[in-house]
Amino acid sequence: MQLDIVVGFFVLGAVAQLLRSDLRLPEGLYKSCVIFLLLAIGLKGGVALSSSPIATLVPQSLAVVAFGALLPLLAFPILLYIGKWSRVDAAATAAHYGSVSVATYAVAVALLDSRGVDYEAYFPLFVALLEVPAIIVGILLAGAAAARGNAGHWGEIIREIFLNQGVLLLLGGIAIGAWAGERTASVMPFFGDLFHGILALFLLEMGRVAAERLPAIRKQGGFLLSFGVLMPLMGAAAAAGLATLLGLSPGGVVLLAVLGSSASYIAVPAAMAVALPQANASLSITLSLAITFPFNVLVAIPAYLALVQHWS
Amino acid sequence: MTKPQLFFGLAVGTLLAALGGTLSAAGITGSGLAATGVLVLLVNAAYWTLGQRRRPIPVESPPDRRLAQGAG
Repeated sequence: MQLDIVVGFFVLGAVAQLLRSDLRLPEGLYKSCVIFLLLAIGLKGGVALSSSPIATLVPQSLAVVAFGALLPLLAFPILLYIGKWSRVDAAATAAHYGSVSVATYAVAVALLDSRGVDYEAYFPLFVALLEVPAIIVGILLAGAAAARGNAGHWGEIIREIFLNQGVLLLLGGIAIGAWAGERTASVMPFFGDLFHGILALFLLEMGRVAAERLPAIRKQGGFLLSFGVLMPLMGAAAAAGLATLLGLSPGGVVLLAVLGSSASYIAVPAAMAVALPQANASLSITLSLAITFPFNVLVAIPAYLALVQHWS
Repeated sequence: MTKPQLFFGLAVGTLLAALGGTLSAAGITGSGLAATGVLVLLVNAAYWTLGQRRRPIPVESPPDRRLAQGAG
C-alpha cells in the first residue's frame, strides 16, 4: 500500500503539532485553500456534467440522496444505545457521518489521478447532493422536543444547508463548469494544475488541526476511537454495494465508498449550530476531524483502492 | 467506560485486526487496517483498566462497620 504524496503533508502537520511547533497556516491562506478546492472540484464535475446523459444521472442522484438519508440511521443507534449519548448529541453526530467531507474526497481524487484510475467525472454532483439529506435526518432524529424548540429557525436552517460556503461554492463551480463546458480550459491552468499543490498546503493545516483536537477525546477515548473507525467502514461497505448496483466504474466505486466513509466537519457543524444548538458540537467535530479523517486518509482510502483493483 | 462500550470496542478492534490481517496475508493491501484494529483493542483495554483502578474503594464495608460498632 503506497500512500499518495499529499498525505505526507497531513502527517507533517500532525507531527509538527504533536511536537508543539509553531507551524500554522495563516487563517486567510487556509480559507483561500478551501475556496480553491471547492471551486476546482465543482468546475471539474460541472464540465463532465455538461456531457453526461440526464437519463443516467437522475436515477443515480436519487439513489445517492436516499443513501445519504440512510447513513445517519446506521450511526444513531450505536451512539444512543452503546455510547449512551443524549438523543440530541447522537442525532447531531449521526448527521455528521451521513454527510461528506470534501477534503477526504479531494484526497481520494488525488490518489486516483496519480494512479491513473478512471472514475465518473460528474462525482462532485454527488458530493453536493450528499451534504443535505443527513442534516434533515439528523434534525428529525433529535426528536420532537428538540425540533419544537427550534421551530422558528427552519428558515435559517434551510439557508444554512443550501447557502453555506461549502455547498454554495461546490454547486456554483458545478453550474459554471456545466454552463461553460470546454471554455473552462482558460481557467484550468489555475484550478487544474495547481490542485495537488493547494491540497498539500490544505492538508498540512488539517494535520495540525486534527492533532490539536486529540486531547479533547481523552474522556471517552475508547468508544470514540471504536466508533470513529467502524462507522467509515460501515458507510463504505454500504456505498460500495450501492455503487456496484448503479454500475459505476472501479474508480467510481472507490469514490462512493470514500463519500460513505467520510464525515463532515464544515457544512454540518454550521447547520447543526443553528438547528440543534444544545448538541455538543465539540464532540462531533473532534470525532470526525481527529479520528475519522486521519483514518480515512492514512488507512481506509488506500485500502478501498487496493480492494477494488484486486476484484476488478 | 461501560461494559457494552468495552465489548463494542473489543468487537470493532477484533474485526479490524482480522480483516486487515486477512487482506494483508492475501497480499491485497497493507497492514494499516490490522494495525488500527490492534490500536483499538489496546486503547479500549487501557481505558477499561484505568476506569477500574479509578473506581473508589469503600473505606469500610457494611460488615466491617458492624464489627467496628460491636467492638465499640
